[in-house]
Amino acid sequence: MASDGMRKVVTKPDLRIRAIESLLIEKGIVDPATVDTVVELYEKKIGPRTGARVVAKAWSDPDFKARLLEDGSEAMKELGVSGMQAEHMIVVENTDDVHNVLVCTLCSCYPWAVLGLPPSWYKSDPYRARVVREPRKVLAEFGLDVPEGKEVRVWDSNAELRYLVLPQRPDGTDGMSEEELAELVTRNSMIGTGIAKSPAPA
Amino acid sequence: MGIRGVHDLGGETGFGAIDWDVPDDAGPFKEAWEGRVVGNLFCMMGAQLCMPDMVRAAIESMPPEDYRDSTYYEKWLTAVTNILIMRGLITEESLTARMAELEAEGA
Repeated sequence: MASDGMRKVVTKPDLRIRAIESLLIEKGIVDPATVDTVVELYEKKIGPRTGARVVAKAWSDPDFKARLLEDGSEAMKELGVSGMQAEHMIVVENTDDVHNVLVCTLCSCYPWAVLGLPPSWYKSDPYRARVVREPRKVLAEFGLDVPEGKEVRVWDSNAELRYLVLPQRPDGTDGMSEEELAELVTRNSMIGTGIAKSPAPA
Repeated sequence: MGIRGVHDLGGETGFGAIDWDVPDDAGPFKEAWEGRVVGNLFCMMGAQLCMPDMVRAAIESMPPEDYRDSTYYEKWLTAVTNILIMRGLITEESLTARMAELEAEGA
């Protein structure tokens, strides 16, 4: 991040976007209520809980899981998840032998429809540069040690194609409801920089 | 092989730690203006003024030092500004004038 002293790109971003919005309102291009709705959508409604529902359903329903891995976009429609860059979703499954992790090296492509807008680190230069070169080291920094014998696959998202990681179902979760299972699914487990939480000991 | 753009970061070396510790329920916007940028951009897309590709192209064509020097939503804001100027919907002058007006009102 730069200090403001030498800035020539964007000065006073708050004022600048307010000025742009006001000019676009005059031209009938922007309705401020629509802007409010978009902001609220991403702050309150679209986020990783949607993805957690998809994962919990896949853990609970083998037929759904098969459909999800076959065609992510089609299967997610069953849960009312569509649009918003979900048109071409590929779901990659973590197993005992393979750990998957997502990145967008060019910018910030991300499965918005199921995870919302990406966290700041996903868009950061160090993550984009490093996770493709030294994924195990990066994952270790996230607190995830992938055993030597396990393959790590890094998926580079792009504008047309978005990925979602299907994390492994934690042990000790037999008999849990989809709602209970969804609580164990973290955002990072669906990016691949984490794994699902273990259930709290009874 | 062409010359790599500044945005083409995959495998580049020299980067340090990742500031990864962000809670799942953290909001996507650090500051309110960032959300307004996204909302305005969606309206622009709705009005067929731009497609996601154009936004990406506008960001990737930023001078490298400006790209490196900008935060994520500052890049979006730069793209929004440049697309609107390119479309002839605003000018540097009209934008600067409106910013001054709003600043004066708020003072």
